[in-house]
Amino acid sequence: MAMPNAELKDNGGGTEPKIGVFVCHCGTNIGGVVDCEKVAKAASTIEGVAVSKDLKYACSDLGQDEIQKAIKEEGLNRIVVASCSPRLHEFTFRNCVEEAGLNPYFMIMVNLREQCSWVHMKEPEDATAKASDLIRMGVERSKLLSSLSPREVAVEPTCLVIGAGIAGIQAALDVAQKGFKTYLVEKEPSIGGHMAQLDKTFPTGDCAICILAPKMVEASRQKNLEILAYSEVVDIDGYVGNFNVKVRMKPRYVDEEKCVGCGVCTEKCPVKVPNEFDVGFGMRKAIYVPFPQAVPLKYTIDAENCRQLQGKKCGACAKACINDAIDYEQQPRDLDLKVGTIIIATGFDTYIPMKKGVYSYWESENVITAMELERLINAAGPTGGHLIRPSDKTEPKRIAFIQCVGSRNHKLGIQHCSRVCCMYAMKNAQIIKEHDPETDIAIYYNDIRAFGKGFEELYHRIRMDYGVEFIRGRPARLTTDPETGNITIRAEETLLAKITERDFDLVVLSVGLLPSQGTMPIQKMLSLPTSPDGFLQELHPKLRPIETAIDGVFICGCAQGPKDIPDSVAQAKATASEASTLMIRSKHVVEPLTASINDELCVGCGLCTDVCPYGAIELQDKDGQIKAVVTEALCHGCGTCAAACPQRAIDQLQFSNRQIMSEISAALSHEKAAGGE
Amino acid sequence: MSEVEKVFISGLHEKLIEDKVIDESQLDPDFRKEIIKFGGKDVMTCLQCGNCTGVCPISLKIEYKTRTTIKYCQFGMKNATLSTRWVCATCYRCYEHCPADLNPAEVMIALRHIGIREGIIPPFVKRAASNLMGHGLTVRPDESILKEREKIGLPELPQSKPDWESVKEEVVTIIKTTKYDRLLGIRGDEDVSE
Amino acid sequence: MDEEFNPKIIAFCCNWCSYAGADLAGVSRFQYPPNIRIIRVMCSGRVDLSFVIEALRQGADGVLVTGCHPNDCHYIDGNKSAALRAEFFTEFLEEIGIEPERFRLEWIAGSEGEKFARVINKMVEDVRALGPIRSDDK
Repeated sequence: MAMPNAELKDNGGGTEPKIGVFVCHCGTNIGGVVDCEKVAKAASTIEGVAVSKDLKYACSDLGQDEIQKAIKEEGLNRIVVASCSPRLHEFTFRNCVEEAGLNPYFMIMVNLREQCSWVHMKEPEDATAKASDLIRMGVERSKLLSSLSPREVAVEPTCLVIGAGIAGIQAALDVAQKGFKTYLVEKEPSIGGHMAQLDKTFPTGDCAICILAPKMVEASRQKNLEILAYSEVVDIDGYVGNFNVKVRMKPRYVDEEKCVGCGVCTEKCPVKVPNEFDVGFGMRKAIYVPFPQAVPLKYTIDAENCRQLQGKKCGACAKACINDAIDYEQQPRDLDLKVGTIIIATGFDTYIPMKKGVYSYWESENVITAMELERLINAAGPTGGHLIRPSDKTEPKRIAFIQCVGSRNHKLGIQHCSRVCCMYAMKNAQIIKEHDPETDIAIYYNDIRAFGKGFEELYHRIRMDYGVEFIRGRPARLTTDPETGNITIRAEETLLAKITERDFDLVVLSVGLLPSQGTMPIQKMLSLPTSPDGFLQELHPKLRPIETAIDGVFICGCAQGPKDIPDSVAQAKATASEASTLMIRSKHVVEPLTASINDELCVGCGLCTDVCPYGAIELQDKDGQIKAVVTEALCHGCGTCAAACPQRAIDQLQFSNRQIMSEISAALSHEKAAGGE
Repeated sequence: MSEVEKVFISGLHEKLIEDKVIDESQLDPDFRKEIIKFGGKDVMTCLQCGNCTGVCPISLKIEYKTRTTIKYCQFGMKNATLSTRWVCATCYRCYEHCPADLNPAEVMIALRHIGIREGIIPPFVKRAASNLMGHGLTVRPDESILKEREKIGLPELPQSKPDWESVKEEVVTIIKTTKYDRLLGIRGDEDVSE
Repeated sequence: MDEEFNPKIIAFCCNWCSYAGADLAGVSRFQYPPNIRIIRVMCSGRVDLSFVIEALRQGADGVLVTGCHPNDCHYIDGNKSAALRAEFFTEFLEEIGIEPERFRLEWIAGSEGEKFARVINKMVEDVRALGPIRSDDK
């Protein structure tokens, strides 16, 4: 559907514009600052305006009825709604005029609220004058609008979930259960994410892997759900309903069809390296599964540490394998997927102090992070659940937790609160106390955030029943005794207003949550906006928490911001619902704000093809002449091509050159006519 | 009087108010804005974590607590900071460690500016200013020390040489142009015995 | 009538970032002077320099173009075109004898309501200090 340059087009009522202006009071939001009556009266004097009235609440049923009535009774063919931001109600009023029989693209909005009454609250006269100007700009632009039809794109009923932690697994399960083909891509050899590393979860003390593993197994058995573990998304392009995704399946050097997960290979492997899953405390072999409940239960060879793959002769695993599953020649495989929706669930990484001197993390063995503690107290961990000090393997009797490490710190450039650390510190304190009630535990905090269901109750119990001491004060200095390995914490205990020094056997840093390493490449591929804290940004902080600026792409779990497991699961289910709604409809409506080319003016210079971010414009031979041609399905409507064209041969529908020029004139000419100020 | 007050502000005519219950009459709601005017950042960003106190070398030795001073500033309890604002060594360790990016040392300096302009000038500050005006240095070396130096054969200090006069003149010019002498109420010839 | 000079400023704001930032300024009630008139475009890359020239020609004392931060453009890199054009335009203004400070390009994200208000406040003051644009220019 190639449209010629945006000329005035009517809706069957003659080419004469009959404009209706509706000025909304929005209660007192606008009306309290802007004199809406006066402004509506002034608008009625503009040439072309047939109807001009003020309404209490334009978006209400009453307001919309009035607009529709005016369209029908007065034969209006252009509507200017002067109210709140079009980002809020553009669709509302488009639907409203469409119901009355007018092409919805003959309706435009003028922002009198967010960009007028709310920002000039102390200057009502100036705000009123500005409102008049803005409406005049809208009226002049409306004369140049044309009727447009939105495009429909088909939606591929396939979903891609990136990241297989609890959020990704839950989202993938939900989508697959609704009947849509779902791919679940995970960069680690097994799905499960960080939740698999945790011991117990707050506030109930549920064992993490006990509740996670059944979900992992369910995912492996779910019809329509294909797990692509040890794989990474390397490229995404396309648009809603039609994303082309390239997934690179990294070589395990083990044939997944043949491997039954028996583990004989790992017994024979001579190479031992620190286990990432145990955060460096435990060891694994070069051929390994990250943890016993891994899904898929397939072995992986770590090429960097494998003797055979590094060129030194070995082959122990190949000899041991009864199914002949080892394949040292395995290559990475690329998969090209076509999906309609994408759910990003790439999770978090914990903060690791990078500099020396941050709470002596690098200087002292007995200062550990919370994740390291999780592995030490986990019965399936490297110490079988016995909490021991790294320096001398003895049981610590006096343990300190330090809160807000890598969170709420302007100096580190990490301003956000990580939301879960207060509770996980309490939870870990409870676990340690249950093991050995004689342990002394102190938690150094700045504020305690125990906001969720059951949280405050745990906070109460941990003091009453377990005797954990809460010390308000940010530790100023940690010093380690080189002989004993004990750590002295100096802090001002603010509630005592005294500087104290206390000795501990072990110090646990309650580290904050940061966007994961895996989030960054995906964010770059899609050009997704991020919030100031670095996490992926939601479309609206209150009302659209899991949608993104890109249609068809959704975010959930810690990729969107730090949160605990219940909140991650809730968001995962929300994204599954959104994605499914899109795929059920099988057609998605896209705005027709696209580029349109006037062949007569086009000289085929190709400047537009250079600046188009989507490659939507191509130079083609048309009857012996080179002309630019737009592929509508790829055009996202930015208008950069229109600004680049030296011939003015390309224009953008609904934001045409003439329309914008008319707004400029309307904004400035009135002042000159009135003698200026 | 506490130790701090004895050393630093003995002789000042204002006393610290020690009431059991603080009410509005002892608070100054514009105190925070004054501090900002004189170069401190907004004290309201402080969340009273106490890290500054923990690293402060002065807080270790005397009753003074960096954090409490900032709290008084937040609250508007001007009179509770009369003496404490002078004990800060301005080492800036507090600023290095503050997670809210506040600079308590600069707040102390701002408080000093405010105090001087209100005429609350500790004797040691006046002494140093007078020395600066009268001799070109804030601390004058003892005559006996100068003699010892000569005895041992150490080179003459710059202030003992005749061209020090021109240095003194320049310093006095700066002081008079900036009205520093008027601000502090000094002439340069006050009794300078330590 | 000795009134203080009130500059007229035209601002082009991209729908996804800066227009949203302007909306957020309103929602958060950050106040700024009423001297600007905002024209909404989908992308800062849409802003043809002839729009800017026309605005100045018709009497705007200043023109502001706002867009998404580099690498954050909703349309991937439309803002890059805006940046290149702005660079050229500033030199062009100098050549034709108009103070280049009358034209400004700013990156404002959808979450930066406070920044939007701050940018407007500053620009109005700066252009006010420059005085009205000379009407004998083309």
